Amino acid sequence: MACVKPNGELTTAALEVLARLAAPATDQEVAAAVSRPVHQARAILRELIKIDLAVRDGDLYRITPAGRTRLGG
Amino acid sequence: MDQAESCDALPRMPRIGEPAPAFEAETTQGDLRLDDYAGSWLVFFSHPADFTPVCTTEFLAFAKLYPAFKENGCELLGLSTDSVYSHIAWVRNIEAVFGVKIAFPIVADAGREVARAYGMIMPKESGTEAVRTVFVIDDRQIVRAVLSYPMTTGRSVDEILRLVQALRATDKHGVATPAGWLPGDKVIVAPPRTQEMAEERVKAGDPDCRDWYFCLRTPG
Repeated sequence: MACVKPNGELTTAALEVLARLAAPATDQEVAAAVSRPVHQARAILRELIKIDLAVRDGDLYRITPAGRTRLGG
Repeated sequence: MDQAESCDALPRMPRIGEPAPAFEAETTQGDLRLDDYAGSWLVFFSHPADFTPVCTTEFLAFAKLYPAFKENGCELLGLSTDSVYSHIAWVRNIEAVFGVKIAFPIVADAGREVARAYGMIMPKESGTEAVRTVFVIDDRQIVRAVLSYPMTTGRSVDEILRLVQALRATDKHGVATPAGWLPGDKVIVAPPRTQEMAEERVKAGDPDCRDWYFCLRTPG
């Protein structure tokens, strides 16, 4: 998985995306905030959702409590 | 040639006007899906093998024009049947030897699933490696153009960019583009479909109309 390093830590890109989700955002807004192409943002968001650090609500993505914990830790 | 991979056993190549086949695949930038590119144009192209000279020249050309593709709302996505480790080693080698960074992802299609779905495997050339195909996919994920080149012959990335620009001009202005069209050149006005309209066009005496069916205009 591209967002999680072999040692279990999140990649820099994943952390940047997660930080942006402190406020709900669309995939376009996330891509702009982290200066990455939209296709990369979508892929990262998908992986963060798989590991329960983010959740999708319609067009918006939000951080989960587990995601907040991961950011804060 | 892999005898099990006969031409008859392969899915047919997606055609112009059809939805591009969906896929999810491992790439040098993690797992990507075709619909990650929804809303953007995409040049999805295959090459036979990493660490080969013709392919390297093509990647250098794609890298050089990647900014221009992005300016035209178009992303690039490569594919070969090599492993992701081979891809990573190759792009690192390209950067070290040529000083060029490959910033777009490359699909590692070792199982040949995506390559077969897109008709990139041509058994008379190779049963295991993709030939040099290019799919231009629009922002609605429809196939708009297809190119196929043999293993021996590198593609013109300038032409691929021109093709994207021409298709986008067609979508924007509702026009066709003549041979060799470049942005800013005159475009083709749709020919009339009735005799009356043809006569009207001739009578109008537009200097850009050589005949009733052949008229150009400045785009916009």
